[in-house]
Amino acid sequence: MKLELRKIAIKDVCFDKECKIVDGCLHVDPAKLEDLVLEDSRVKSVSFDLARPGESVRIVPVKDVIEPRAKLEGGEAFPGLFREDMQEAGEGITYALSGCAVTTTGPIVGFQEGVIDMSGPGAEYTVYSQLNHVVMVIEKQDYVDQHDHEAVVRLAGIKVARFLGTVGFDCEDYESEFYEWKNIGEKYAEYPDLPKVVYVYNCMAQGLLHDTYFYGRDAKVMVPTMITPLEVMDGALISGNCVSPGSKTTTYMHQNNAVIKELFKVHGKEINFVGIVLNPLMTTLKEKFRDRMLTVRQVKMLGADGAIISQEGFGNPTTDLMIVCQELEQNGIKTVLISNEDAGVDGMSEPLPDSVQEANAIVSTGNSNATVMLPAMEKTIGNLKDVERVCGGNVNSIQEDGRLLLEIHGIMGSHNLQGNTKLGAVTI
Amino acid sequence: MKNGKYIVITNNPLVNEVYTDKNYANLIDEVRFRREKSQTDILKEARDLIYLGAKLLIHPMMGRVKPHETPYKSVMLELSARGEELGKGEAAGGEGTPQADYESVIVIEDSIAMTEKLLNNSAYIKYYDEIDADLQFLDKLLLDSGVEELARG
Repeated sequence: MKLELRKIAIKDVCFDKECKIVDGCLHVDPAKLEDLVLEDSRVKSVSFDLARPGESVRIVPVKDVIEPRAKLEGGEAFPGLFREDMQEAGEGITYALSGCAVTTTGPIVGFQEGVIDMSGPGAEYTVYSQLNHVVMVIEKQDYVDQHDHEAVVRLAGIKVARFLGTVGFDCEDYESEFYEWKNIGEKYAEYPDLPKVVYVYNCMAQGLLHDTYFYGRDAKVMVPTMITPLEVMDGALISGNCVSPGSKTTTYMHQNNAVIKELFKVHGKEINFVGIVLNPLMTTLKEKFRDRMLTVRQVKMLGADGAIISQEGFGNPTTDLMIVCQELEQNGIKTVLISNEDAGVDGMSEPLPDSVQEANAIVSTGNSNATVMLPAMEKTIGNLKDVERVCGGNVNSIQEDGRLLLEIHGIMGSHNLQGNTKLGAVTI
Repeated sequence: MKNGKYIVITNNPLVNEVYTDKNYANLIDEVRFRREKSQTDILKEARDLIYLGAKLLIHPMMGRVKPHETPYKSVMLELSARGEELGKGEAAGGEGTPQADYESVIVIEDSIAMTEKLLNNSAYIKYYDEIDADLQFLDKLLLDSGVEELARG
C-alpha cells in the first residue's frame, strides 16, 4: 500500500465568488458551501465565518475540527460516509490543505464542545489557533432530535472539508510526503534487528457525543481491529465526540495523529513500526474485558516487543487503558501510556480514576483542572454565553470586563491525548 | 448470559421514568430510585451490594462528563440472590457468604475515590437548573449504551 500525501500550505483564507487557491490563500465561495450543506434536508440554515491566526477572535462552542482532504486517485477521502461502495483508504494520491480547517460550532446537548482563541494566552494552549478556520454555524430543523442533530453537524463538516480538499487539485504548489505500508512478513524482513512496536489506538464508543466512526460505521458495533496508519490519514476515522474539549480527539487529530507521525519518524531507525490496533472503549465491564482480550491478542499476533497506547476520554475509559496495559506487560510487551491528568486545581491529587502497577511508563499531556484567565476578544464566532455551559467553564466564567476564567480542558485540544499538545509534566 | 437479577440504582428521574417502562422488563428487573441521594450515596449503595456478591455490569463513571459537572448517577448491577438475603440483615460471614467480585470491588472503590476527590478539589461545581434536563439525558446515555451492549450479548 502506497500513499502520496500532497500538502498545500494554506496561509490565509478569504470569501470570494469562487473556490480556488491563490498564493497560499484559500478563496471560499460561501454560496457553494451553503448549497452543499443544504442538501441535507434536516438543516434549516447554515452560515459561514472565517478566523485566522493572530486575530482577536474567539470561536465557541466548537464541535469538530476537520482538515480539508480529497483523493485524486484511489477512492475517496472519508470513505463509508456518503456512498454505498467504498475502497480501502490509504492508497493513491491525497490532497491535504494543511494550515486550514473546517470547524463546526453550535450547542447540541447541555455543556460540551470548547473554545478556540486565535490570539492571546489561550492561543498558546492549542494547535488549532495556528489554523485558518472556515467556521460553520448550523441551525437544524425543529423536528431533528439530539442524535440526528449530532449526525447532521458531523456529516456537514466532513462534506465541506472533502469538497474544499478537491479545490487543491488545481494547485501545483504542494509538498509531497510518501508513505508505504508493507505486509507483516516484509516488515519483519526489512528491519530484523529493531524492536517491533505496535500502537494501540483507543477510541470512544459510548453513545451520543461519545462516539467514533470507522469507515462510517459506529465503533460501538465493532471489535478491536488491525488498521493501517495510511487509512487514518485518508479519513477512515471520524470523530463523533463532543464532550471534554481539551482531550477529545477531533477528526483533525485523527488525520494528523501525532503518535503515528512520530512512529514514522523513528521507523527503520530506532524501531520497527509494525501495526495499529484500534480499540473501541465500551461501557460494560464485559465489553471492556472482551476488547482487552482481542486487543492484546492482536498485538501479540503482530509480534510486538513494545506498545504505545493513546487514551481517549476520562472516567470509565481509564479502566480500559489500565487493563490493556497490565495484560500487555504481563505478556512481556513493554507498554507506554499517554493520558492527561485530572489532578485538581492545585495539581496535587491522584490524577487518574484507575491504575495498575504495570503502568510504569506514562506520558502526561497536562492537568486538565488547571485554571487560566483569558482576555476579552474583539469578536466571538458562535455564542460567548455558551462558555458557561462548556466543559471547563461555569456560570462565573465571564468576568465583568469581558475576560474569561476557564479550566484548560475547556480549550479545544489543550491536552490532546495523541500528544499533539504543548502541555506535559516534569518531575520536580 | 443473565444469571441473577439486574437492578439499576439511580437518582436520575429520567432514568427512573424510562427504565421502569415495561419494554425493559426483560432486562432490568428493578429500578431503585433515590431522588434525594447524592451520586456518592448511589455509588456507596452499589458498593455495599458488591461486597455481598453483586457484580457491576456497567462501569459507573461517565466517559467524559466529570462528577463535579453533573449531580446524576446511575449504576447497573447483577444481584446475587444469597447476597440480597444477607443484605436484609442476616449476619454475613461463614459458609454460604458470596465471594465479592474482585473487578467490581476495584472499579467501585476507585470510582468512589475519584468522585469524592473531584467534588472536593475542583474550582467549581456546576449544576444548575438551566441544563438540568440535559444532565439527566447525558447520565441516561451511559446507561443506554450499556443496556444496548448487554442486549447484544
